[in-house]
Amino acid sequence: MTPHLTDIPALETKRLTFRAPQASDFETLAPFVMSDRATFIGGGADKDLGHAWRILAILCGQWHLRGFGAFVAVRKDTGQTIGSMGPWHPEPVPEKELSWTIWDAEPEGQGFAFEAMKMIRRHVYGDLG
Amino acid sequence: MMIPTLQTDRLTLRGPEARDWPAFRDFFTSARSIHTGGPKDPKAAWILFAAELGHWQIHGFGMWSVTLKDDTSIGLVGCWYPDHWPEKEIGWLIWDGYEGQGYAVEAAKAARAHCYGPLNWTTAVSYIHRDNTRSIALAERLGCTHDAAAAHPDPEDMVYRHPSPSDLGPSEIRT
Repeated sequence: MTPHLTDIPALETKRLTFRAPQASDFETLAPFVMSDRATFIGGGADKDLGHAWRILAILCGQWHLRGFGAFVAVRKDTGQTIGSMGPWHPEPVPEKELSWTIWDAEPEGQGFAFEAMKMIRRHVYGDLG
Repeated sequence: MMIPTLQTDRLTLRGPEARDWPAFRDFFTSARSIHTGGPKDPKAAWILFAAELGHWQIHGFGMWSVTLKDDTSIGLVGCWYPDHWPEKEIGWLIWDGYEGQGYAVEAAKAARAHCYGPLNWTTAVSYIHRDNTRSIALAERLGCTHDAAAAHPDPEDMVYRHPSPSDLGPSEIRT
């Protein structure tokens, strides 16, 4: 029996769908976390697979603890996993953050993060109050 | 998320919940966590707590919250296997004030019975810091032996190998 995140709101935009993070995201997330692209968000070329694994575990775990969390955005046209986007709120941090990471460099610069974050901001102001 | 609940004579092992956070934080921000990756600041502790839940989602197994029958949280015991580790571990963390009453061994046996039963593990290890004498004593009570040849995730850790399912016999394997 593999536990799944249920009750994740179904969100989509013109070019993207959003789903819960899952084990298979590790393949795309790990190279990102261990690259210089992730230097400003707690990753970097000096990080190992274990660090990357923990990032995925945190992305999943926040949903269970908070009832909200970051979505994984997937391109409708190619099925490509773009990155994680959504609320981030570890315990002692005073305010909820809206976060975004684009895992692979290729889909950058096409407005995906902007498109996604407008939808997710509507979701957190609306559905989450 | 479906996390199986295990019962022992005195304890319940259930999925970690947000209400366990204060006890988890108190442990990981205290010197008591020195041999298990701490002490941490509260934010780092929360992130690790979130990772405990994520571990269940990714693997379908993980660390249970161990509670007394009145739901008092006394620790975390269960299966731990982050990506880079050489083998799947049975781990235990017991909060301050609940040691010395046999709770950890009772919970660890229940967890091991689940690993060898429904999860079909054929072996299991526990990685223990070489200075963590209380934890080493617990491993020995569980029948573990030091496996000097096994790989470990941290050079300070010693590898204690659990008895195999056939060493234990059916009474210690969950069906």
